[in-house]
Amino acid sequence: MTCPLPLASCLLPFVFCLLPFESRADELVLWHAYIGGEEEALAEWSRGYAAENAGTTIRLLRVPSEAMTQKLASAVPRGHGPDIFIWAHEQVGAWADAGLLRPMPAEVERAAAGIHLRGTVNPLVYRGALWGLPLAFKSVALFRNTDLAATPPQTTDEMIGVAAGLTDHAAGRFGLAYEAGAFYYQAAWLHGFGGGVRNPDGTLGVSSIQNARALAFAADLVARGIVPADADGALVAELFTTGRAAMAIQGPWFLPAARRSGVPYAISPLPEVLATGLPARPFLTVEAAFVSARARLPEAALAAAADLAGPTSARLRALRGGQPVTARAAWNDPSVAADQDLAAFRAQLARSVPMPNEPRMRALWEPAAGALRAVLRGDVDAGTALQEADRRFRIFTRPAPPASDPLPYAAALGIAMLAGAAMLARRARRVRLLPRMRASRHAYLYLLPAGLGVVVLLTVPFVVGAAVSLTAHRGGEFSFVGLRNFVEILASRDFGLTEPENFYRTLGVTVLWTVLNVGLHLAIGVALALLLKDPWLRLRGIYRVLLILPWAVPNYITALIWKGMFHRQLGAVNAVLGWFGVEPVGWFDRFSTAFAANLATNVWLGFPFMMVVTLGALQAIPRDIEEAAAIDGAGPWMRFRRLTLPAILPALAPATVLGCVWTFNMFNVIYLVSGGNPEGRTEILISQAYRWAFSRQEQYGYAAAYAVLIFGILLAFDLAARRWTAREAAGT
Amino acid sequence: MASIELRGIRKLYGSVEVVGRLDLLIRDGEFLVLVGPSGCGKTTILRTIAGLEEPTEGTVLIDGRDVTAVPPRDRDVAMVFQSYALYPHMTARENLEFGLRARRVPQDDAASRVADVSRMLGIDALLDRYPRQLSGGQRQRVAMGRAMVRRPRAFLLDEPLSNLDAALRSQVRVEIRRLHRELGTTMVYVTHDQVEAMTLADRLALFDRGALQQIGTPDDLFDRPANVFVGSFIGSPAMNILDGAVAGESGAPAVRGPGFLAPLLPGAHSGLDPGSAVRLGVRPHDLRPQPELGHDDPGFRCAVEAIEPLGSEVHLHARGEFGRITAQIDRAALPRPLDPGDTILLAADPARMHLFDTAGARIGR
Repeated sequence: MTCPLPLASCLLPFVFCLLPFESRADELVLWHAYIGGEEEALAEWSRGYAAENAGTTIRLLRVPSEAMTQKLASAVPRGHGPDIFIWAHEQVGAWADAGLLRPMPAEVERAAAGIHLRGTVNPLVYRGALWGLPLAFKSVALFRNTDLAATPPQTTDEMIGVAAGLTDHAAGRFGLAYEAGAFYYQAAWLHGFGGGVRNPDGTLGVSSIQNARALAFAADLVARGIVPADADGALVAELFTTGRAAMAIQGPWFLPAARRSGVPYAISPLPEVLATGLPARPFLTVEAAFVSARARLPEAALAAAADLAGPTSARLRALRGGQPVTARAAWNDPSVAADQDLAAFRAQLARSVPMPNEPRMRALWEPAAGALRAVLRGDVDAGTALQEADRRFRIFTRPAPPASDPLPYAAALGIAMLAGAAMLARRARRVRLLPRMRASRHAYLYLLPAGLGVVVLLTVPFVVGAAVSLTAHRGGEFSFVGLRNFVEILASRDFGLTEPENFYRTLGVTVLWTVLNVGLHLAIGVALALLLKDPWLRLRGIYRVLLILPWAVPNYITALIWKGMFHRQLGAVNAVLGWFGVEPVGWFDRFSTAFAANLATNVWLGFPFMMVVTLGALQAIPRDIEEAAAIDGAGPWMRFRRLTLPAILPALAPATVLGCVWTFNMFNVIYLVSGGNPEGRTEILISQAYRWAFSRQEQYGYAAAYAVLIFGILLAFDLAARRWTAREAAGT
Repeated sequence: MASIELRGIRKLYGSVEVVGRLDLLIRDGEFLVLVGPSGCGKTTILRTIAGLEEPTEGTVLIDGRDVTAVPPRDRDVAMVFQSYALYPHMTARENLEFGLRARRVPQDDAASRVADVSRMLGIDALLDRYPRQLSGGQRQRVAMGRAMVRRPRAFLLDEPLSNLDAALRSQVRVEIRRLHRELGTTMVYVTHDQVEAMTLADRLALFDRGALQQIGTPDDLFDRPANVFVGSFIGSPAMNILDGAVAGESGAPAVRGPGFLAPLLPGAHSGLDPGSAVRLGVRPHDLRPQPELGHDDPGFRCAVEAIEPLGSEVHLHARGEFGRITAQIDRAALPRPLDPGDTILLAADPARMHLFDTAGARIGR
């Protein structure tokens, strides 16, 4: 009678997972990712709205911005999602295709053009329908430190002239700071040079003479030292707010930091590109309120969304949240009109290009950014880099392979399962499984909760993953393609052996990564354990705790810290190298250094495990055996090789196998430290699978095939390792 | 072969003194046994000679050379551990060869030494087995062999027989003695077992609480214990110690205590005034039951508590006004069958009495 309780407690979490978000009948749930002033403005609006519309309350739920799209994609189709959500327009195509959005009625669409500023409604139109109501527009503009640059540059040459004059590397000052390696920022130059992310026929693509000139222009800024190389958002903010950047290209999200810093600043639109006479036009993002296709009260949700996008709310959001709002009427408010910062962004709005909202756009970022960074480093000329980017973009957005007939597969699977079941049944009869199970049924009852956990948490996801690997996923649709994904990966027709997406190259990097890591883990872990073993060592306990700490800290935190340490301008590693007169190293510019940075991080993370295992094994070696060896005349090396090593090997062998599996799949370090840079060359299989699943057109089937291949490789490795250790054990 | 000398050796663990200012000379070729109860410091002394422990004070000399700071492997001594400390993943042969390899003894030489020693110890058939495949006695031999192949200047043996059963122990004891005779190498042997100590030693050094109590031949320690501790540690069953006072009456020297009167040899208590408190030691096998039970007869008047028959002899445990007493008596010498509760008078030859002062130190002779 003791069984139901543990069983119930084990099932409870699953039950909770299945429960939908419980909300009251008259309540609207709104998801957003706002923080600070924007969140306060939103809260104030929701209170006002509830007061004016008795019977409708709005529950706000802040979702971390990194998680928003994932959560929406999984929650909305299952009816657990919000009624309204706020996000940027670039997802419109994907969401509309996936059926997450309710299109705006025709009358709302007609009214929108009158309510909102020109250019802020169109980005929300996809396949002829309006899918959301605009709230705010965001684009970058030029921030100036008015102490350094009093007047806004009108042309790029003027900007370069001013920036060059204000650049002082000795003082750590740059004339202009922006995320040169980010394609989002580069877009302004593309448009300024007459290019962009569309081919003449309207399809997406970046290979053009204009774009090549724009890339060369950006490379020149970096090469002349006016703009810091590989700066990220944090560095740009740091430089500008400490007065070490005369100008910065930043968006409205930078306003709070700029105001806090006390640096006198002014904002102006980006300058005109002198060579073309065209203004540098950044990408425009429109934040909008969307009504979920599964909203329980669609009319009420629509009304609330319209009110949120309307002039009253817009005034509140502009004043409280500092948002460049889309509602025209709000700009008539004297307080809003007087805000110079907002006015500057409004001026930039007229000189911006909406970011394409079709789903394929998301697959363009990776190849385009790769081309940009390669050109900035001077590795390749811009034209070639862009052609290469287009080629990769075409591969990433290739259509799904033709569907296969699932029947033969189903038949094969059925036969295999029948055969398996028959074999199991025979085996069970032979070892008299049933009577034995009946005899120890209480033991099996106790195992049941753990068994259920294994099935729910491991077996089911594995089977689902394996099933997905036989499909192709495009635009929310899965089609059965049999083993085509595997064939494509293993044949690797699209990518040459030297290209980062090539399966065999990635496998090679992964094996190198695993071997070097585990080798260093072992060497350092064993060496430290030997040092810490001496029971008379003073402060031994403190050393042990200190050395185990790297293991105790969550590895993503460690990874982020190490990434910061390898920062070209602000990192500790380059600072230390600087003391010895070494020029700052761009750690993530080359495969060797980026790989070394990943390696250093993961070695730091991994050696404590081997140290702890070794320490445990060392404790088991009787002290008198070592003393006997000492008296026998064996030196330290002979004692280690002939006594210690054979004694700790039985413990180290499984730890090494485990370490290999962990390292083989060490996604966090690769993703967070090098991020695959340069251009995916440091990706390992697992992070490559992630790219295919989440930044290349959601090719879940292809990614799942990668995962199945990884599983196969590790299974083979484990079986081989087990055989080897069994043989070793039999040998002694 | 070597002489070993300890000069002013002192060893502290924290503030605990485990060996206190010891001077000890072990002669070349001698078989010296360090004996004493657990925790008396004897193993620490052995490990100090081996170099496994560093003395807090004092110097260790081997053949006159100061080796206090010399690491174990350069002292050229061999040690046999209580646990044998065989290398578990090596065969007996590899165990034997280990020390020779470490010292880079040429292969041929090493092989012949291993063959010689294993023949001598009767382990030649076991050489390819791992320690876990050997019995306790076999392991013990391999451990001895590992020490012997090295031909060290001295052997240090730390309770090497304590893990063997009684029958095997006495057999190996004889063997060790024979090996010592054949090899003639200095041996320092630690044990807490006084039988082992007595049977093996050329000389015995008896320790208690880190201090040397007495050093001498086994007979010295048995016949002339330097103090109560030595007297009661050496010999089994242990020496009876009774509290009494010197009795001067009628000119015949004696010790009188509650319920006993023990005559002494003339002059045994020289320098002591009548009435001085003393402690009397008498070994159980020196006690004899007296046929008569006269009121003033000398002897130890007591009541039998238990009788342990041991074949040819019996151990008789009795209690008198003076306390407990144990006698070891030939069965033939028993005057009559005894039962618990019977009153009996035990007496001993005055020449076999040991006299100690109240602090425990021996008086006379």
